[in-house]
Amino acid sequence: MIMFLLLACGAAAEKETCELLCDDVYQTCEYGAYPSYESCLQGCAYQQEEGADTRGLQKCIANAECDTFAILECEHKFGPDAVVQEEEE
Amino acid sequence: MRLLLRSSCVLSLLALAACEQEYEVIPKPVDVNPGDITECGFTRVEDTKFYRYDCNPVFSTTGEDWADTIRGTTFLVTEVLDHPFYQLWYTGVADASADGFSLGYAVSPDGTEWTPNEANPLLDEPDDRAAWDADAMDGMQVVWDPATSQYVMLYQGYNLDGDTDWGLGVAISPDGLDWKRIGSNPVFNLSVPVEGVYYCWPLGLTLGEVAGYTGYVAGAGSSGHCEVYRINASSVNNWQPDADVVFPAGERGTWDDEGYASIAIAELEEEGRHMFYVGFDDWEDHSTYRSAMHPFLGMATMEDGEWVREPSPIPINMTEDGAVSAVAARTVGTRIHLWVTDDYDGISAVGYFLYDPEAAALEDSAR
Repeated sequence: MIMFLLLACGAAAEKETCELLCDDVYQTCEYGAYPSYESCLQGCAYQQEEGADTRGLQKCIANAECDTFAILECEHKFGPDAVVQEEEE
Repeated sequence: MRLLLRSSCVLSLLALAACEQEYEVIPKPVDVNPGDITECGFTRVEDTKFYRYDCNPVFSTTGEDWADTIRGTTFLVTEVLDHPFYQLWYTGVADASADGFSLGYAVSPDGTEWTPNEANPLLDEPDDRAAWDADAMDGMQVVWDPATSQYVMLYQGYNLDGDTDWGLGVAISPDGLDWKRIGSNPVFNLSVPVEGVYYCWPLGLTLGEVAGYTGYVAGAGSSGHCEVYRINASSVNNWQPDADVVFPAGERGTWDDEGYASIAIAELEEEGRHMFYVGFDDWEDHSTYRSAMHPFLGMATMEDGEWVREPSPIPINMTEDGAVSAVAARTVGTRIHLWVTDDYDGISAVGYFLYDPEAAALEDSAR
């Protein structure tokens, strides 16, 4: 039963990571790059599908505390390109 | 048993309800219209697929005391959650007539408003007055190399004392802030001709198609004009010139028949590769150097392995005689974003443009 509940919530947990990310970059940091919260979520979902480590990205961006320079490097460390690099290695 | 099944169903429904999101997110690429996030809009440049930002210029200087005069700029895009953020590295001097220069870094979430880093300047002129690049760092080009997890900057440097040293150097950085010039600089000597090609200046830098990097330099071969040549690098230390002309100067009598002062290459999925370039048709002689006269922006597209140019300049120039000095181009989704340095009322500054064939086609079909 517990396994079933965990599986049922699995997909939602992934979305939750995106929501946390968008809470940071759209709501807290108020970056103009995102025209809406929904646009941010869509981009996050797309990156997830492309292989980004969104959990790692979320922790990194939260730690960056709206330092844009640091946030850009979070993307390099945990975005889709970083995952490709690890696979190639 | 029946009770257990019923309990399972109730719990499952509760779990699904608890996990349910308020909206459905479809994982597809985001393609933000820049005009939706910038303070001003974009207006189409007549009879072209280019759009001009209505509040140009977007960069002249940052107001930092070490950067009263900007000597060079280079732009990059990094997408965070599939939305572009824009990066700008620039060299500047405190006083236009003073010695010494420094490198700064600024970022922007919309390509128009720039925030300089608090740690600027990040790199100063070499301590050694005899260094080959003691007098300048300009013509910079930056790429992020995911294979080596670092930024790679190719730049022009020179030393005007005595016999002029003039070459290309490489600086690398893991984060865009901490820059180090590599030990094997200059990686390419521009003072010495190679296979009959005399070099004019650096033009551009891209990641290599397989690995490494492809640099572009302007060189004068038998034609005597500053045409586009490649220099290929398998690593930051090893740059090899290619003697074949990539893009020859325009035919005699045309607006770009003396060659090119700057190029930027970007690719669109539907339309292939585009080269944006600053072409010119005359020279101005100074005491120790020559500079391009009547420089305008042009465009060429890759067709069957050859660059095919548009016959006329792209009419975005701010002055009638032409004073465009540099172009940078980066692809974001279905558009190419361009930053073009030009003369804005006597001040060298950067304007923001879009090359947006989809929007142009939509507009045309609605007419």
